[in-house]
Amino acid sequence: MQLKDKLTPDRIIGSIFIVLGIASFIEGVRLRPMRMLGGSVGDDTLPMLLGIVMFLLGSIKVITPDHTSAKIDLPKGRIRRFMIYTMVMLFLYVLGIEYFGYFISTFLCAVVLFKVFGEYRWIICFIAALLLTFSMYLIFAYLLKMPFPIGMFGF
Amino acid sequence: METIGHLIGGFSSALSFTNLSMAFVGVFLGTAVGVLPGLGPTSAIALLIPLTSVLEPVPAIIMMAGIFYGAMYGGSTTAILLNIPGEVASVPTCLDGYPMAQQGKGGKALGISAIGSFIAGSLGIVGLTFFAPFLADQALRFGPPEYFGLMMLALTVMVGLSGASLLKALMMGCLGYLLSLVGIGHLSGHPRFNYDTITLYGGFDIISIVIGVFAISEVLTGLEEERKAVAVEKIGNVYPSWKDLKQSIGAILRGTGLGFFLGLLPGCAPAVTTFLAYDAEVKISRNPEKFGKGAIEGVASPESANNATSQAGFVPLFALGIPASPPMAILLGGLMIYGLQPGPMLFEEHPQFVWTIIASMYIGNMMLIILNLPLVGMWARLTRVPYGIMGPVILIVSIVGSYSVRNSLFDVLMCLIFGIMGYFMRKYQWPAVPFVLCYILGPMLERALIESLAISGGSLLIFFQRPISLGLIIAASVLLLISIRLLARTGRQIVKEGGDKGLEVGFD
Repeated sequence: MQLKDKLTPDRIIGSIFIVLGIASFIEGVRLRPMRMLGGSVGDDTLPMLLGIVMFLLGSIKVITPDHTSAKIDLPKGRIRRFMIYTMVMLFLYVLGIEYFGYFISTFLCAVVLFKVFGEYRWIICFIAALLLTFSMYLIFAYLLKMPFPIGMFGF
Repeated sequence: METIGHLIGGFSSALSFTNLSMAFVGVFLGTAVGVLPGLGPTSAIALLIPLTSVLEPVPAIIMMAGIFYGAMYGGSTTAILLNIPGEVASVPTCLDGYPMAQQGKGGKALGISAIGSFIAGSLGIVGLTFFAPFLADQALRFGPPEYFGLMMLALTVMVGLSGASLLKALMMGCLGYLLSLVGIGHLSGHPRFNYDTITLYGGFDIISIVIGVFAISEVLTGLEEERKAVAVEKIGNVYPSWKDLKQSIGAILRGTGLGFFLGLLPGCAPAVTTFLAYDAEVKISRNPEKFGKGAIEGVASPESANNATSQAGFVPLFALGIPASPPMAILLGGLMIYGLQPGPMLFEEHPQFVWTIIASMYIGNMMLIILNLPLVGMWARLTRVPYGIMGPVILIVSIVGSYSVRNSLFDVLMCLIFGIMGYFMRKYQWPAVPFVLCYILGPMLERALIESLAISGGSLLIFFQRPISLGLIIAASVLLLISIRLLARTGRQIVKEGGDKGLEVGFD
C-alpha cells in the first residue's frame, strides 16, 4: 500500500490530535509553576489531562484501520470553484469591511454571492444585494443599535 | 399546589404583549426553519441570539424556545409532502407520510401530524411543569463533586449525539474542551493557550463557533449539492375525520409517553425517540405489513414522540443545567450569555423567569396548532424559495450576527474558519454536537473538578465517597451503556435512513 493510501483524512486528523495533545500537555507544564502554593490542582490540571487523552485518542485513530473517509469525494470542477469563490469572497469581506465600511463591503460581497449561488443576471444580483444590505442595516444598526465599521469613506 | 400557583404567576407574565409577540415570532420562525431543509433549529437559534441582544432574557428565551419546538412541527411538512425531512427527527414520518401524500391523503397526514404534535406537546409541557421543579429541588443538595457527576452524566449525551462513531465523538468533545480552555485560567488568572496574542485573551466566542460550524458549513454543503427550490402538489383537506382520529389516538398517546420519558434522559434526542416510537408502533400493530405504505399510525406516533421529547428536553436543561440535544446546548449558551445559570438555583433565584417560560410554552403550543393546520399551504410554498437567494442571505446574516456579539472582526474570522472546519466535519462524518457541547460544558466541568479536588486535598475518592456524586457517576455509566445499545440499535437505521435523505447525522 502506498503512503498516499495510508494517509487517509481520518489518519491526518488523528495526527493533528496527537500534536494538539502534546501542545496541551506542554501548556499545562508551563502553567504548573503558577499553581497556588500548596494547591493540589490548578489551571494546569485540565490541559495536562486533556493533552494525555487527546494524544491517546489521536494515536488510536492513526493506528486503527480507516474504512470510510478515504472513499469520500471532494467536489470538483465548477462546484469546487464556486465554493472557493464563496469563501475567498467572505474572507475578503471580513478584511475589507474595516477599510471600506459596512455598506460597500456588504454590497459587493452580496452581489458576488448571489451570482455564485443563483447565477442570476448582474442587474438582479445588484438589486438583491442592495435590498439585503439595507435590510441588515435596518435590523442591526437601526433597530438593535449595533455600530458597524465605517471605513475610509465615512459611511 | 405550589407548582400550580407558580404556573398561574407565570401565565400572568407570559400573557404580556411583548412575551406573546416573542412566542409568536419564535414559533413562526421555528415552523419556517423546520419546513426549510438545511437550516435546522440549532443554526436558527444561534443566528438569532445576536438579534435578541436588545431583548430582556425572558422574551429572548421565549422566542428561542419557540423556534425549537416550532421546528419540530415544521419538519413534518416537507417530510410528508416531498419525502424530504426538515430534520433528522422527521425521517420516520417520511416512511408513511409520503406514501399517504402519494395516495392523495397528504392533507390528512399533515392534519394528524399537527394534532398529534399538539397533544404530545401539551402533555409534555404538563410533564415539564411537574418534573422540573421536583428535579431542581433534589439538585439543591449538590456541591462541587455532585456537579462533577452531573457533568459526567451530560457527557453521556455525546454518545447519543455521536452519529455512528464513538471515537470521533470523544475526539471532537476533547477538541471542544481544548478550545474552551483558551483565555484566562480560573484559578491563577494567567492566560492559557494565548501564545502572546492579545486577541486570544478573551477566548473564542461560542456564537461564532456555532454559526460557523452549523450555518456556514450548511450553506457550503448546499452549494455543493446544488440545492434548488421544490414545488409542492395540491394538499387537499387537512382536517382528519373522527375515524382517523380514533385510529390515531392510541399511537399519539404511545408516542407521547415514549418520547417524554426517554427525552428526560440526556442524549435521547428526538432523532432517537422518533425511530423508537415508529418501531414500537410496527411491533404492536395487528397489521404490521401496512406500515411503510401509508399507515396513519406511522405518522401519528413519531410526530408525537418528536414533540414530547422536545418538551422533555427542557427538564434537564432547567433543573440540572444539562442540555439534552444540540438546540438545548445553544439555549444553554444563550442563557449563560444573559447571566442565567441553568440548574437548581435557577428555580430558586429566578422563579419568575422559569415559570414565565413554561407558561409561554402552553401558549406557543396553541399558536402552533393554529399556524400548522389552516396555514399549512403557506408553509408548503416556502419550499419554492430558491437556494440562490437563501444561501447568500444566510451567509451575510451569519457574518453580521457573529460580528454583533462582541463587535469583533476576530470573531467573524473565527466564524469563517469554523465554517470551513464544519464543512469538512460533515464531509468526513465527524460529529459537531459533541464539539459544541464540550465547549460549553468544559469550563463548568473544570470548575467542579478543581473545587472538588481542592476540598479533598487532591483525592479523587471524594467523587465516590459522597452518595449523590457516586449515584450520578453510576447513572452516567449505566446511561452510557444504554445509550450505546440504543445507538447500536437505532443508529444504523438513523444513519441509513437519514443518509438516504441527505441528512448528516450527529450534526443537528
